[in-house]
Amino acid sequence: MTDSNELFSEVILELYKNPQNRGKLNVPSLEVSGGNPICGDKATIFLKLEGNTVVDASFENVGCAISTAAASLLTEMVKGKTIIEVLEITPHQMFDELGGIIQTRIKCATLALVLLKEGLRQYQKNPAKTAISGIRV
Amino acid sequence: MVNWEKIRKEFPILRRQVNKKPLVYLDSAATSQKPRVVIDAIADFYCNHNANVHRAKHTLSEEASNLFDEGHELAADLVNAYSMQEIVLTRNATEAINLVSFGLKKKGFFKKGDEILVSGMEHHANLVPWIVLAEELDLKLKVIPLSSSMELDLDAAEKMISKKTRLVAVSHASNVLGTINDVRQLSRLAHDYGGLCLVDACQSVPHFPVDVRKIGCDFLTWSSHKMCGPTGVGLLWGRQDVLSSLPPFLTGGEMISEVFWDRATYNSLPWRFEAGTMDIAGMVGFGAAVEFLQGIGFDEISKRDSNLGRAAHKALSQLPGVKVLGPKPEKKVSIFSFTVDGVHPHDVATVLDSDGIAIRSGNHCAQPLLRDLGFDAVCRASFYFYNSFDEVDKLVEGIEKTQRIFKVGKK
Ligand SMILES: Cc1ncc(COP(=O)(O)O)c(C=O)c1O
Repeated sequence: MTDSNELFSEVILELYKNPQNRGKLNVPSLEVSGGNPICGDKATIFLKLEGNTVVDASFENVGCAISTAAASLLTEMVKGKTIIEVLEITPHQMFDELGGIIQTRIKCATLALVLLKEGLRQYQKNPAKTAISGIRV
Repeated sequence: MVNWEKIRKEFPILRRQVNKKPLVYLDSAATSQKPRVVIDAIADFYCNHNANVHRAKHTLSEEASNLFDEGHELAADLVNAYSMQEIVLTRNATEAINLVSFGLKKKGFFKKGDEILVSGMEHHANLVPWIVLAEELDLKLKVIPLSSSMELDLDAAEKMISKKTRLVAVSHASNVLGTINDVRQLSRLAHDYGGLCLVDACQSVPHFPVDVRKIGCDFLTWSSHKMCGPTGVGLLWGRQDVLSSLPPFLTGGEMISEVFWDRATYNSLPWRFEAGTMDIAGMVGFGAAVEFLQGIGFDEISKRDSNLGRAAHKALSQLPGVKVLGPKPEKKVSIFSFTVDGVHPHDVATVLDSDGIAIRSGNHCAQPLLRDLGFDAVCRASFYFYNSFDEVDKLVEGIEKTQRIFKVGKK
């Protein structure tokens, strides 16, 4: 039996089962963690930077299919991008790449992006601080 | 025989569609739906009797005061209190528990090193106030552990309790596991050592007859909104001698007897704990809810709860990849927390919602319990008498659909 499934795209289901870039990075340049206290989803994003360019990225999380898939996708998307380019990634780009998101779950799809952008903004202001935690999304 | 189908029709919201499917409301432990009579009682109050209470000499105020008092009387009757003087209206159960913790603190009831005993299945509402108090007064908070069957380990409780235990604060029924706790035994234990016992009855009063005299506790709290009444109304029952020994919580109008520039004396029970204008219409709605439930009969409601609970337990436990948390159905109210292997609880809830089925996912305001059980989040389906056996089937179908979408569970 098949079910019409407009809730979770194949991209989301696949990345939830087999997430890319899951785990800590060795000696990350930047580590950003936080979560959504209302739904309980939490994530940490690890970045390795060379100059202003992201050369590697990974994540750890507890969360639903959408937030897991989004973190997987985002850590893949940012590799090779400059900090400025990462800051330009929009939520809509995420939704498109994830194959569409239902209205009630938008926050799950943007959790990783919001964390990463906030972390990068703080890093731009103060590059000495390489571990940023407690961001509430 | 109660005609449950007819009773269900008295809840207007249960006729609506969600995502083009008939609503299947399985989140009554968070808040119950309201029957027409309750909605009408509130509208009727505002249309015909609205006035402030206990002040004016005009007819409307007299009518409003009578209805307001009647709400207290009905609450007293509901839990078999000795009198309405023992019933304090608050905003919700959470505020009622804060009222008690504030009063006990101010009265100097605790001294440094004293102990408060709570259960390992408390809702944050009956936990955080005690954590804060313990921190402030240097008290020790002890937690009664759960047995493997997810009931309270009363032998352990007996060993933990001592003369230092000034308060035992426990839920009557767990909002996560559904477990019904032996609060009678726990009250007795508390008293044996000279302490007090507070029972959080939020999940018991809606489901089965609750009798404060039989339980023998000192405080019992619950919320109107979980028993067909409106939000904004919490109830605190306190044994008269204990309640009258507590200093007031909020101060201002209504709760006073005489006021001078430099001092005030306080009103009699229960009014000294009801400062300012209360939710009068809410109390009227609550009264209508009590009459509605008593009209059905709490014994019947309790039987219905067991029947739905047994059906849901059986159906859920037979599903591959689904784990139900909690004791045997005989030992609980019809609240079912469960997990689906390979699917996050929020995703289960999203799939179910797409078919009009409302369940809750998350930590259910019981983070320490969930952490102990090894979860960040679980799904919860909670039933009330207006639910049907069909809806148990729909829940099962929804879970099976979730498993198909996520390609987990049975093939
Ligand atoms: C066991 C228990 N205690 C306390 C509460 C708090 O009730 P309220 O939010 O009405 O204060 C709830 C409600 O979820 C509950 O289930």
